[in-house]
Amino acid sequence: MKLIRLIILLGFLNANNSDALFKASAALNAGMFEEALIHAKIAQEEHPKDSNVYKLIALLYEALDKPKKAVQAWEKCLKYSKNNEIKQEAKNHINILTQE
Amino acid sequence: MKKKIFLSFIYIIALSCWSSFQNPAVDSNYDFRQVGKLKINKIKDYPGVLGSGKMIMNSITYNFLKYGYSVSESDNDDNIITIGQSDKILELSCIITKYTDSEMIIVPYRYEDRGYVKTTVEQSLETDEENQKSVSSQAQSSTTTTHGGKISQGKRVEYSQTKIGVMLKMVDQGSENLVWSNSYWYSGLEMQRTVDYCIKNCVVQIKKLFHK
Repeated sequence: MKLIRLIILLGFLNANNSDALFKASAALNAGMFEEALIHAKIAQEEHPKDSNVYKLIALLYEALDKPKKAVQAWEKCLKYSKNNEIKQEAKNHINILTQE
Repeated sequence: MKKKIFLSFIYIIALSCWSSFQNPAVDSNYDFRQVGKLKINKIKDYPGVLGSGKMIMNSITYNFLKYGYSVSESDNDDNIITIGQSDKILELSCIITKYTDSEMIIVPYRYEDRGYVKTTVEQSLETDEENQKSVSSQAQSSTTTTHGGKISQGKRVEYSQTKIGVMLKMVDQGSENLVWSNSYWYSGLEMQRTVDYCIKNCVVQIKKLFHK
C-alpha cells in the first residue's frame, strides 16, 4: 500500500515539473488560458531565461485581459530574446499596451 | 579618435532611424484642426478571408464611437465620422496587409534531465551463536551511484497565434493630397482581441491629429 502511494506521489511530482511547457501549450490549444498560464509559470521557473516562455505568458495575460502583467512579461521577453522578430513583436506590444 | 567620432555618428543615425520605424508620415503643412468629417472608404477583404474587411471597419467605427465621435453609416459601406464643424473632408483608406487566424508558433524545446545521486546503505549484524545477545561483528557498506542526467533536444511545443496588419492613409478630398499614412500590426491568441488592440492603436493615433 505504501509502495502504491509512493508511486502515485512520484508520478504526480514528475507530472508537475517535467513537461510544464507541453502542458501549457496543450491547455492553450484547448482554449483553457487560465490553466495554460499555471503551467507556463511552472515552465518559467524551470527556464527563467527563455524568451519563448515569457512570450507565451505575455500572450496569455493579454488574452486574460491583464495588460500590466502582460507588459512585464513582454519586457522579460525583450530582455532575454536574441531573435530580432520576437524583439520587434515585444516592442510593438509594449508600445501599444502602455498607451492605455 | 576620428574613427570613434565617425562610429558614434553612424550609431546615432541608426538609432534615430530605428526609433522612428513605426512613426507615421504626416504632411506637416496640413491643418488637421480644420477637418469637419472623416470618410472611411469601404475596406476590401483580405484575400481568402470573407468578412475581414467588415470586421476591421466595424472595429474602426466602434473605436471612434467609443471616443465620443458621431458615426453615420451609408448604404454603400462607407462610414462618416464627424470630427468638427469645418468643411474639410478627409478620406481614410485601409488595406489589410495581414490577417492570419492560426499562425503556428513552434518553440524548440530542450528538456534537461538533471540526473540523480542514489546512495544505498547496507547494514549487517553477525551474532555469536553461543551467546545470542552479544554481537560479534557489525558490517556497514554504502554504495553511491551517480547518474549524470541528459539533455534531450528535438522536442518542440506548438501553439497557434493570430496576426493582423493594416496600412492606413488619409487623403484630403478637396486637394487629393496625401496628408497622413501609417501601418500597424498586432499579434495575439484570439482574433477578436487582436483586431481590437490593433485598430484601437490606429484610432488613438488618428485622434491625436485632430486635437493637437
